[in-house]
Amino acid sequence: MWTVFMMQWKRLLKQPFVVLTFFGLTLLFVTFLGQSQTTGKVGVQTYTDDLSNPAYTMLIDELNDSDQFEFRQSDRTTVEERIKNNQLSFAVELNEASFSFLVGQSSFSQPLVREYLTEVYQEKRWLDANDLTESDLNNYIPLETTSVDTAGDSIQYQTQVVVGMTLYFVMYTVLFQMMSIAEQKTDGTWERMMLSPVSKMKIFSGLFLHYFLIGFIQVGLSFVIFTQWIGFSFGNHYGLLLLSISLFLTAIVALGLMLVSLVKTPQQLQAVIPIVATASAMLGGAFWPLEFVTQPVLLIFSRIIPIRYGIETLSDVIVRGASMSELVSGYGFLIALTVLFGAIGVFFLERKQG
Amino acid sequence: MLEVQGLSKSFKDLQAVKDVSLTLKEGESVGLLGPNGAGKSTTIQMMSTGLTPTSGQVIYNDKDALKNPKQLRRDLGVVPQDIALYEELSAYENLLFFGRLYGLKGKALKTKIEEVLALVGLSDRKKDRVKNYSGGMKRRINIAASLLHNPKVLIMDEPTVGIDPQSRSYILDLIKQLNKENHMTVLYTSHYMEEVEKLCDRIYIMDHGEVIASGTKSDLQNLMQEEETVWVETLEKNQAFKQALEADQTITQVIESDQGYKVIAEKREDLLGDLFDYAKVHHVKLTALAIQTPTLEDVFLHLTGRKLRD
Repeated sequence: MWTVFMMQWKRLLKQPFVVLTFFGLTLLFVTFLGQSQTTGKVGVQTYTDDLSNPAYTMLIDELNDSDQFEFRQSDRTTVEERIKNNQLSFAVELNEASFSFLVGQSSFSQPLVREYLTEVYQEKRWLDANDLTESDLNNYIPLETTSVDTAGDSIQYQTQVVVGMTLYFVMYTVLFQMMSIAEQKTDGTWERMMLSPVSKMKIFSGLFLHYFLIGFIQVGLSFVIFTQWIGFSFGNHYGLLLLSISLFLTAIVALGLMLVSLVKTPQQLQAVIPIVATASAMLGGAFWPLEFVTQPVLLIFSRIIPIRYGIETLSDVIVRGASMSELVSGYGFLIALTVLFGAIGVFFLERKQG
Repeated sequence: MLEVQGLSKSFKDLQAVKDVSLTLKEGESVGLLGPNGAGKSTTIQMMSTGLTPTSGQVIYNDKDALKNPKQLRRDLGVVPQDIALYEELSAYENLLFFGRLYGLKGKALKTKIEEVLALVGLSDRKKDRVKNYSGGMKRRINIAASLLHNPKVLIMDEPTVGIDPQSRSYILDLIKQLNKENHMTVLYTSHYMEEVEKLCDRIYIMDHGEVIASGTKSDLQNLMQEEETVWVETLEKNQAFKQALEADQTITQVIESDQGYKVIAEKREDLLGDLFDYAKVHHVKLTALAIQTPTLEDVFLHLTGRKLRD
């Protein structure tokens, strides 16, 4: 087993391009998408003809309590010029008791800004009418509920990006590396190995461990780098994190074995891998939360997709600090898929041999 | 030593091998001759336990090698038709790996690698990556990888395909040496009859998945004892002359070649006289006329009506 295992590493070190490329892509996508969410407030240009400078500044400070928007001070002439030059979609005129929009072209964020400003101005009117201050308001309205939800959404989203993208790209890495089996079947080295006195079990184990470790190192390194670069926290349930990653990767290697057994040439596999990996990521929740998928047929398909359970179990460990008993179902599916894919793979490889 | 009995293999609708039986005795060199697609590779894949037959048996030292392949695999060296090596690695690294698969390690492995490298004449290029080798060098390392564990039986699947004459000659001499000096039992498959003639004590001829003839070279030539081969060299080709030859009841084959015609005919005293007459009638200028001992190519032609490389 170790002879086969070490040989595959030696070959990988001579041709590390695929692994390094997908590792780089993982870092790139996660860093880009993760950071865009954590610091991504929508900027809103404002001006006023009505308010004094101190009042304008105070109002801007108040508006900037929002997690979503960053209101910036400007003046009418500047914003009109920028709108004319298509440098700005819209701006907001802030007055004492109302606001209005100066719109150049429609923007997806304008309704959200309108909704937010309406809330703030209604609140101000209510406070003025009742002669109350903002601190009094906290006694009446549990403002923190909203803010906690938003923070929760942000963590959920970031976890989705970090975990989804990492697992998506590691699928590519492992499956593309497994193309080497298809190549060996074509060039005769596979047959040469199979005709040696080493048992098939040992050969498969050596290969399995090799591809598993490639994936494991990629995921491990990615997670360490995300912790340092974008300050992402993976919680402190390291045991369950490792178990989730391991079970997911085992299922992916089994999936790769099945794909290798079903194709006739490396070229066919090269065409199949992107389809399987991308479809899995779409249906398994790597690109967007699974709640977005509403088609019952697609949801049924998603049940036989390892990445779904990989993302679910990892997210549960990271976001909720889920316990082993809460993860049993996801782990069970991953193990079942490993057995299913592995059995199909070995069966067809053996059948071709026969 | 190694024997197959009633071996058949079907792939869906195609029956690639039909009821093939053949024997390898210890120390002999046996040829498996046939055109491309005759079923030679499938047969040796089954003989080496790499492919399960649809029916039939593989017996090694009186034991069923399909049920218990381990002993045969230990004693068997297989040289595949493809260059079954990791081309991104050096020859030495390849040999280290394949040697380890056979349980060799440490100093014994390194000594054996040096030995086989010297045998195939590549000691000075052992650190080069295989992808940088010429076709002939790749073929030689392909053979070396099969010799590391001192196999008792060496099965070679067309090991000289696509290489230059010099490398081909080197490989043929090497195989002869392995068989005659190292007493290795060799099964050599090829569609080059001259290679099989040079190397092999006994020959099996396959066509369309079946063994159509077997024996020593003279046994096979005796299949044509009622016939003889005549080379008719002409200054130019003449269709009417060819048709006249084909119309002769005693002539079984007329094959056009660059220099003229190859004629296979029943043995008779007046054959050459008749050939002269046909040439005179059709105004064909003969440049040479020669009776030839039948080759394996002629035997194959006699048996199938086709050339080996058709």
